[in-house]
Amino acid sequence: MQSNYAPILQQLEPFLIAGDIREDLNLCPGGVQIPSENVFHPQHRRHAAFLAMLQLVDRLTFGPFGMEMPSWVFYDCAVMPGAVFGLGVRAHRLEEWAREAMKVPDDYEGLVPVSQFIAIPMLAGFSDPSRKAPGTWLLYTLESLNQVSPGMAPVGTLKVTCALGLRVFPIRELYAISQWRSPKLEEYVELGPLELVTAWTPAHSMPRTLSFRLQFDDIHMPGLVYAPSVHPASPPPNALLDVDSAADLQALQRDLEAGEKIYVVGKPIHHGASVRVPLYRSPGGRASGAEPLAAGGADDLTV
Amino acid sequence: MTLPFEIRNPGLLDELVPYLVATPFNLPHLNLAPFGVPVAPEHIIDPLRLASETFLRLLHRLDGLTFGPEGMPMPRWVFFDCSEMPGAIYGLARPAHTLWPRARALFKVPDGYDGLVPVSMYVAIPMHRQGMWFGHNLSSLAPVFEREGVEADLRGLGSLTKGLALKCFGVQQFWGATQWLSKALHIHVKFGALDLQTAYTPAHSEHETLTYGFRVTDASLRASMGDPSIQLPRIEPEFWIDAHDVPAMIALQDRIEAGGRFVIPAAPKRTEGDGALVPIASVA
Repeated sequence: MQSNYAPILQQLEPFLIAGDIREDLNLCPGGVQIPSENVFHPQHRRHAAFLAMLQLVDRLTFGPFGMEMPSWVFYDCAVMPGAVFGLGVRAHRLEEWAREAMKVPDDYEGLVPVSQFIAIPMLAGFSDPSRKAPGTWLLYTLESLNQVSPGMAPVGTLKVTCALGLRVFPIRELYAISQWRSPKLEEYVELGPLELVTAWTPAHSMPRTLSFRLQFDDIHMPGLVYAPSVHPASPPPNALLDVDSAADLQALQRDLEAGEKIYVVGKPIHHGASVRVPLYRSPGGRASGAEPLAAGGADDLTV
Repeated sequence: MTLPFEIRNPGLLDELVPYLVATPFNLPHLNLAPFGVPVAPEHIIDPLRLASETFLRLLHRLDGLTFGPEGMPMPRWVFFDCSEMPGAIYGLARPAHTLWPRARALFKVPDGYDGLVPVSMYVAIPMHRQGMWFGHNLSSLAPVFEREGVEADLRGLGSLTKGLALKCFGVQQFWGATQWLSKALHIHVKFGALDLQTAYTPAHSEHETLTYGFRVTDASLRASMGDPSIQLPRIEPEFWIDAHDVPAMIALQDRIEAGGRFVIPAAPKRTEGDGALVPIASVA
């Protein structure tokens, strides 16, 4: 791991919550060994305190979006079909305020989770009969306490959690879901060009949700960890999307449904009150749902 | 539509039609005619499309009608993230123009909508092996109608839906979670003896949850739907767990964590009030 991320792994320890799926997972992602004492079974009573704190991490990070994960959803939809990778800190290393925020029991001296990466198998991942484990996974949750309490964990915790989490699971094709205004979109776009599956998602609690996929071969780990920027193979943007415009998102969705290939290829651009996301629309695609850029692509991206 | 075997309430397939909610990338992995009962192409709902919004809202309403009173309704994002994207939803429905008037009011069917209205659904999520699934949600209007005093013969709707859904999904090994007091346990044991994976589950909202599983065969599916020609083997219970007895659940969980293997061989016995006694047997 690049030395500028080394302090994160000096302060934090990796953990894994997994049942029988453990045999398919890499317990030494990126050369970072997950200690056996940090491998928890989701069904064992002795791990209940840790699981309760993990639930709190989710409540703190997703609660303000109205998307806190009830424990029964965590059980049915996360730890039973999939697994949880994350980073945690020993309770005695937490400052008092952080201990209180995380409601760490007075007598608890174990690991306190500060980030998590949850992936679950997708049915589409069973296309290759030569593989025992599925190749297509849904990145179900990626979160860090820094999102709501900067200072609870080192800067960069989310990025390292993502980089290592992607190596824990046998992922060939990755699907993910995000909100257009989520800061995590900046992290995702470093993985590679994100092929949009939906741009406006009425099936979701927040219709301003996008879903996307990318092939694992496209995921650019060095770009993610060493020199975060856009993926080196990403095409230059040829359109900008106003993510606060429901009409533009719906128009983009209609273009997707008509068969157009559209990719998110750059980090959201903040200017004044507006947020624009750079897109690449395949040649011949219609220009509704986003502002077309003049010929020249990224060179003309001046905001 | 008819099944090639007898079921408890054959009239259901005269009154209702199957539907399937699946993404284009998951659809090729599903059986579109479980036991020969076809899902019409126009009744395959793509959750990624704008046009599916009304039907998906009605599905959410069905979940609310079924689970709202028990406090576990599913948020819409859970439908999308945990069901529609990774897995699928199978169920039975009725065209809006033929819906019972009371049901139309319960669902708040929008004026002018003439598509399908779901009256049952089964949701499952694929696990890490082909054919291994985790059951997530079984909703049926039958108990809602009973509660609301609506006259419609929906007996056996939950069992029929789950049986056809497991065939549609190609389930070979099933896992699921339910509460010791849940009446759904009566449906689950119709598939045969249930392997117990947990007896007390702190990771779940309701700690008094059990995790159960069974091998899925055509015989177990037919038995679950009421085919009287199928008799599944049942072993004798060795002891009973009172569905209110938390210390007994914890003690059983400790035995499971220590390597013990147990099954629920048959249906619970209802006791005074809302109680139940659940039979347990150990297996080698």
